[in-house]
Amino acid sequence: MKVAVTGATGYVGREFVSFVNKSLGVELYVLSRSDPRLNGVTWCYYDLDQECPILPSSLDVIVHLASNTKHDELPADIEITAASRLLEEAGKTRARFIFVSSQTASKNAKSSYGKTKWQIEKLVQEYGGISVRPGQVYGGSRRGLYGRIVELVDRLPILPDFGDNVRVQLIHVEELSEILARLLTENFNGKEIFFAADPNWTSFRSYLTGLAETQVKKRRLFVRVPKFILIGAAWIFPNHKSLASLISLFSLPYMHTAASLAAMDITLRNFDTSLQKKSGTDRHLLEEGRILFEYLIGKSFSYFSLRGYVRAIKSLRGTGPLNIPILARAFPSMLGAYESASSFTSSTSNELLWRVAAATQLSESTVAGGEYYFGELGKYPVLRSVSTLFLAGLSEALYRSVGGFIFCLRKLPFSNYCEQRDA
Amino acid sequence: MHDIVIVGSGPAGVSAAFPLLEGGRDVLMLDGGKTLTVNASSDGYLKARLSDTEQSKWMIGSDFQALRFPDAVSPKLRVPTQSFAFDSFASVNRIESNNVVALGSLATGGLSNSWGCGVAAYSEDALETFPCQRSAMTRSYENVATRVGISGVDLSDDLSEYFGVDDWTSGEIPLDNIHNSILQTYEKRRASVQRLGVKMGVARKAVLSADSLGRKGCNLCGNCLFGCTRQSLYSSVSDVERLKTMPSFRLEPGTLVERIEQMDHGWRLYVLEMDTNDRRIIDCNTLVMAAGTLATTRLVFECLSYEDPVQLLSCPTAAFLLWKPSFLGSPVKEGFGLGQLSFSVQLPKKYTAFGSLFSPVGIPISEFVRQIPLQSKVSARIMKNLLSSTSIGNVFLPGQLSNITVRLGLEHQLIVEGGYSTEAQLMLANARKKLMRAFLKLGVILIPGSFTTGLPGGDIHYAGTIPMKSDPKIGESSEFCEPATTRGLFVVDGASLPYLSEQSHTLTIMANADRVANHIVSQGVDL
Ligand SMILES: Cc1cc2nc3c(=O)[nH]c(=O)nc-3n(C[C@H](O)[C@H](O)[C@H](O)COP(=O)(O)OP(=O)(O)OC[C@H]3O[C@@H](n4cnc5c(N)ncnc54)[C@H](O)[C@@H]3O)c2cc1C
Repeated sequence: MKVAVTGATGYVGREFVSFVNKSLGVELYVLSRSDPRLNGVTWCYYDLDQECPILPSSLDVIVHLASNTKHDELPADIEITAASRLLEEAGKTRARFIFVSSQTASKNAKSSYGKTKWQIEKLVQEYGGISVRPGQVYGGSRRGLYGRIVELVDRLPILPDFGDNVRVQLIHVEELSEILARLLTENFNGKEIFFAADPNWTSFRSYLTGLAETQVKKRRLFVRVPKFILIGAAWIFPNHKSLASLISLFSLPYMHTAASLAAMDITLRNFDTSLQKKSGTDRHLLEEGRILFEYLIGKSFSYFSLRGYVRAIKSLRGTGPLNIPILARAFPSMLGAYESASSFTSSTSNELLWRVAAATQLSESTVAGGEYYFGELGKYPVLRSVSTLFLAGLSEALYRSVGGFIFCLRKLPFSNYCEQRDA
Repeated sequence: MHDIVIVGSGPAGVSAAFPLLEGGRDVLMLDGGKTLTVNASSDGYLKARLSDTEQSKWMIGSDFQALRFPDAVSPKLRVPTQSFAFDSFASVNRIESNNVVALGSLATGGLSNSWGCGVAAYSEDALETFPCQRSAMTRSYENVATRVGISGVDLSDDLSEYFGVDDWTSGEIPLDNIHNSILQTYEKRRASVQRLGVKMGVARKAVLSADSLGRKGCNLCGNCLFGCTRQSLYSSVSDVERLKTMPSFRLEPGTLVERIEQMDHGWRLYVLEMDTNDRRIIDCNTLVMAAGTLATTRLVFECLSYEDPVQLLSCPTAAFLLWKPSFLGSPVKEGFGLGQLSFSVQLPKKYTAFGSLFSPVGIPISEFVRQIPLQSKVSARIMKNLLSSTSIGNVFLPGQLSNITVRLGLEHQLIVEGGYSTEAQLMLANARKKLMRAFLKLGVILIPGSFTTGLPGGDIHYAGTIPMKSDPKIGESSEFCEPATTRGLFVVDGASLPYLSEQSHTLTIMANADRVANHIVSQGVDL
């Protein structure tokens, strides 16, 4: 699958790109002003106020995350023009289009930001694409608005409490990028707008308290600050970014997110515990699933089927991801050697073998699996069959001998053996 | 006080119910009440596999049923659409097994929810072991065979006599290409194959070829392994539905019988309601046991306090893979997923082996990958390329060749243990040699190394623990399946069969139940 991403260097963009790159193995084209220098990613120079770069002709999806952060320098319609250029580009290859909008998007939004987003949503809707309105995004690396808020919490000994009416609907950046990853292939049976956030409000004060406790590990005092003081301050320092962002929180429209989440069977984590929890197990498992599926069937799989693998391992094994050797990570077919090596040990409870067997069943039970096993044999079916059988025999022999080698060297550090990762 | 209680709604239970109701009796039927939770696809198998984005629901199951039992004897136990049929049986019925597969069912319809539909009537010789009149069995075979609906061949073939059911069959299920071709070659080289003691013909099965009484005829959709949404494959569930329309019949599903006790007049059942976990008592004049051989045996032995070990008849089995090189590269097509062709093999000492051939197309590839000792990727590729040119075979030997015993344990559990006799091993080896040569004559290679002996008990054909005898001692039963020393108790499932043929035995269980029920009716109501 080929996916182009704009805004890949932003807070959400970075997270999303590294996630799909690693866990899903999609072919990524990153459209941005500067090269993010990521392995296995193609960079194309892109700026919102300039023409679109030429995109590969077989592009499957465009994810539009870029947004104009140079508010004052550029007129608002730059964004709209940029979006319609991208949509035009998407139309050429009939690519899916996913636009990351904003909670403030509305026809009658107070800010021009919200109005612009709404207008772009309309264009996306006309095209038949999906818009995602994320709530307040938190977690992960300290960048974007989240990074600025953590910084404030770190610096200020006393934090403002604006009362219970200033509140946010949260979503963890990992969850948001997982939702985006799923939308690459899935249609949620909702409308064109996906609302991605906790259905419940979290007061801004609890949000800050949580960040203080988990991120900067400090206790913070709160002082009740009436709203107008902040508004006054923003009026005095019109160019202060954090102030402007803070004020935007005062009038967030409530998003009915439950239906969107239910349509994709998603339960969001709890904010209070999610910042403390070691995240990442799921990603390692997703990556493991991707490698196993690719080994078995040699195709990339949708997030949906890989998620089945993650859920299966979590509910049936109760253990974390395997430590798959770097060689097999880069070349999944090397797993054949490790599988052979494992079968030399007589232990039937070998975890790698169990997981390969499970992956065989799971990868088979997908449309991609069905196509692999039952698709047309092509023009010369007999010849094809004979040669595949011959090659299969050859690869068994090859990887088995490599496996034997690995088995003999298994005590050496570089040939680690797909054991359990340390928790 | 109920008139008659039948424990079990499987093939045996329903076969006893019809004559009793027709004879004017009142019937209360109890069973474990498990029912289908996930539906198989109603599209053709290949279409579903190529386009159903939610296929993991029936291939894997939302609780990962298919991944939970890597060592299960049959793919059927892994298939999420079928697992309800086996669920919780051993623990609820207190069956404890050592190195023997001991399965059963708590489902409405019992094991017939997932059986292979193979049918046959016992031979004259086999029926010699029954202390009853032959003519009564023949009448009953006809009753149940016509109710079930059997398809076979229009004209007779080399197995007509061996199956003994052709008088009651109607219609054929079309063979798929590879089996059709094997049969045609067989017809040309019949003499040389038969010289090896091997005979071949179309499988006789309890499958409708045309619509009848609310069930639909087979449309070759290929979903057989996952369950038939058209009810073309016989399951006693469809008979339960018919019974429910009769006024003197009542089914109480989810009512587990934990203990039975003989009273001065009639029988007392101690039951557990599965829903509410409540225990209560049911009293009846006549008790008909059809809970499946293992469950029935435990309940009856417990009631008799019978603690001696008894032989459990169970057919030793093996499975193998056939390859027809001339079909390599031919297109994969879905077709009937149960027995296509059947064969009999004459063995030393007058034993006969019986087996059938199946198409591998409707079986998940991972089921083969599991068996092939190569890297998974390689095995998967090989199978993918061989699907259209292979066939799977199984072989059954007569049940007395297993050395399996059952006995009541100290905690009133039923202990099942043992293995195959050496003779069984020898017979399987002999069958393998003959089949290898016979198939070679038909242009088919029995892949060396693929011939694998099944686990003891893995046939899931169990019988003979309370065998009918003309002069029954304690632990045996009368000509009408009444265990010695009891009155008003009838064992109508496999437990009372004195002999377990290598052939499919369920039709015989059903005929026997029908015969016993007719006897109960003829006895009249006993006050
Ligand atoms: C995979 C497979 C393939 C098979 N293929 C064939 C074949 O091709 N040909 C063939 O002839 N046979 C075949 N069989 C065997 C066949 O299914 C059984 O012989 C047949 O179902 C036995 O019928 P039954 O009525 O005696 O018992 P079951 O079908 O086992 O029915 C038992 C009934 O008793 C109920 N029950 C159990 N315990 C209790 C309790 N404690 N209290 C109350 N109710 C209880 C259950 O709910 C169920 O209704 C196969 C079996 C399996 C598993």
